[in-house]
Amino acid sequence: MDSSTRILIAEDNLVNRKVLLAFLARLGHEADVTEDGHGVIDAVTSSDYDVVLMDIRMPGLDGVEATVRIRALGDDVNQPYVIAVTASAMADDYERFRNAGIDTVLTKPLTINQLAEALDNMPEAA
Amino acid sequence: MTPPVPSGRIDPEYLQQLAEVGEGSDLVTFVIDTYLERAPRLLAGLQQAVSAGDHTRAAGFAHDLASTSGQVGALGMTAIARDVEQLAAAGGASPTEQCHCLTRLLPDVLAQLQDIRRSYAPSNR
Repeated sequence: MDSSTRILIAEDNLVNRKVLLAFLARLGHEADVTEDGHGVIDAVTSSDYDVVLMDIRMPGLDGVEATVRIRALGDDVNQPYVIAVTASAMADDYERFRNAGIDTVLTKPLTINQLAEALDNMPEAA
Repeated sequence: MTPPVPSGRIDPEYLQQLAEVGEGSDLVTFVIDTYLERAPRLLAGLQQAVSAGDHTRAAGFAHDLASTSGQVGALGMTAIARDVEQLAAAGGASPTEQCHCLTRLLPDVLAQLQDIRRSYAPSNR
């Protein structure tokens, strides 16, 4: 994964956004930011993103529903690799996330090494 | 369900990495200052929601408290807040005891963070 990878952060919490941006900058990446699920839909339908770092609990449209809607767009958009970033997930949630089309899950508090590993493990085609 | 971890100890790894990746100390002090201001309000909101039997609001406050506590390395707070969120989301047993535990831990967490915050200059608190 190189610095040209197009990344979108979907996160309503200002502190978490700043931390993710700082981690990505240290890893050599820039990112666009949106604060809710509707913003994610708008972003992926107007620009091509390779990766979405998707908070699950967001106001309005949560990360799971936003992912369902992105996947439903099919080939009409560039389908991003979706990394859920969540503060708490129960066992049942992981199946729900997979069924929604989320590719992998990171649990907060996040370390920069965990984020780097998740990005490195992305399929080449994503 | 994860059993409560009754420790208010700050794991230094999380703030240390923020100090390393941030521009100077701006990021780590921003995160600490935000927590010092926000965590007491989140806990108060959680307690009110639990008292009112409002499971949805309680789960929301607990989720935010878990998330923000993790960012500063207050992993005991995070673990207990996650338990509260799960209990509240399930809508069954009231997480009263877990809330009491959070109330006991928070002053120690805040005191540690204030000490850590003083180690970063300039101080604006």
